[in-house]
Amino acid sequence: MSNEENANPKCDRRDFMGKAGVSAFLTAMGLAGAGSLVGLSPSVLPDPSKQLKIGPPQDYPSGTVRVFDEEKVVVISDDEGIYALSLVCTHLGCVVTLDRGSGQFDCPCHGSKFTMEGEVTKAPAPRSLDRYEVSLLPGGQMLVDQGVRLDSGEKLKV
Amino acid sequence: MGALKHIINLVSAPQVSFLVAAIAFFFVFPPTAGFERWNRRLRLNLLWTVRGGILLHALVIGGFFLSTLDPNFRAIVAKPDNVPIALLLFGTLFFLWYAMKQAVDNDQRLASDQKPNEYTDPSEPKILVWPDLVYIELIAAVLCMAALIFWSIALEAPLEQPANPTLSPNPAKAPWYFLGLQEMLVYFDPWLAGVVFPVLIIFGLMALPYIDTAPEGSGYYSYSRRKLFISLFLFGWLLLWVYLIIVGAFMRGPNWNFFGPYEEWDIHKVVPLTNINFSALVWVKLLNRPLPDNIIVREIFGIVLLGIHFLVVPPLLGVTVLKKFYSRMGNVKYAVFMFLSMAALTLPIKMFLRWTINLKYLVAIPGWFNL
Repeated sequence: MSNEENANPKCDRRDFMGKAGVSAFLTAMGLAGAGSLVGLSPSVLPDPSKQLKIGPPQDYPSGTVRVFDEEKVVVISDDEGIYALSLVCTHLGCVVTLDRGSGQFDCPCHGSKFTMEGEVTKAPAPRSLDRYEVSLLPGGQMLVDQGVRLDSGEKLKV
Repeated sequence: MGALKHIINLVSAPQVSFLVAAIAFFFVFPPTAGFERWNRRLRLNLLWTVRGGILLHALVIGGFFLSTLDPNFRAIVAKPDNVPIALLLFGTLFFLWYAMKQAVDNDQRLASDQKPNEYTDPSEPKILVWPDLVYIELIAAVLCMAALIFWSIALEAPLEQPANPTLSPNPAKAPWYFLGLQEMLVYFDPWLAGVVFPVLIIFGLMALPYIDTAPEGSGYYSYSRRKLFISLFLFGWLLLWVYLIIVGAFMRGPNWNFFGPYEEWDIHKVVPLTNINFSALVWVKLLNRPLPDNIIVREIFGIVLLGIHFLVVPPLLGVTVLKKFYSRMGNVKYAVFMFLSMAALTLPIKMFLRWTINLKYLVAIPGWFNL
């Protein structure tokens, strides 16, 4: 084969194939990367239900404190009504334990303490324990909705 | 004996032990010529001789083994989880002593116009990496392996039942190398103690060679030639890291309460609880007014204090006490150095405010910034 002059000296055939390969590769990677962004918002979350049926109010006479280990929720009943607190510490998410002797919640990780109403009495927790909505279902059961956080110290009056 | 244990329990409370250690530190590791004179006057530099080292180790190791006679102390240090931590602390002590001994040796040689120990005359025959140095490494590796095999046979691994997400162990402890972080988290918001401070530590370590650029004293062990930087670095390492690991590993019991070394870990230990934000302290207690609704007005005193700490104190020091240091360092290096130092200082300051006036947060803007 004779040594022909290249039509375009800046880009011969081998160069072109190389560049085409690289850009095809980058395009494919880019598309795959963009596609994987969809995974950031999955259409189905494998979380357990956030709604918890806890039985009729009659099961909770004043003074009852019932801990739901699985759901990390405690349901407390006092003279003013029934309320539900999250057992997840607002500092870094350890599960607080109820000390029935002193009537407070203790965090085993960094020593935060909370009252029975969920208020912080010892730092470092920055805010009170989350308080969930408790409502009465038509069938007479009570429902704790972990999806609804209450800002005030509301209680369900029965 | 009981009274002595009681006193040690009281003294080891962080309010006392940290303060004493922080003050004693600067006499043992003097950052300036003034402290260095005191160091000599108190004969503390004799710690870094062979005799001083034997005495130091005998005191620490002897005290440790004497303490194991106490059932509460033994219960904590003999836990399989804690054995390596105890060994490690002895290792830290030994290597600290060894490095300081070499540094002080060299200081004395340099003071009497001799070359440092590490100096080798170019005319001397060179030592080859292979086989001389690699040979030593081989021996070290074999010894290390033998020690680990012996250890794994002698001491059972602390394996437990499968983790239960609904049941937090009490106390819930991080691995030993994170206990310093966990202790910081007791005093700070997770964002600061868990993210900002560790990043600052890493950046601070990376910045060291760019801040401390003085050529003198490099290439060999030496203390007095770069005392300020060694002293500050050791303060961060020994008091803000190793001390916190010791406290976290051996003195934090159920509910993360503090327990002295000879105290029983009582899950129902009662601790006084009064928690106060700086804003409440100033507005309610000092000025006798309700907390303002506007969050910036409410937190203004804390913000001003923080501003003074980071923006006013460094330049003030630069034109007074640290004038010479400032002119030697220049603007950028001085600013970086002071920012890192002042950031590191917030840790002991905050710890003290918690211990003394039960301060929760100096600036508390929920969801944004808690310090």
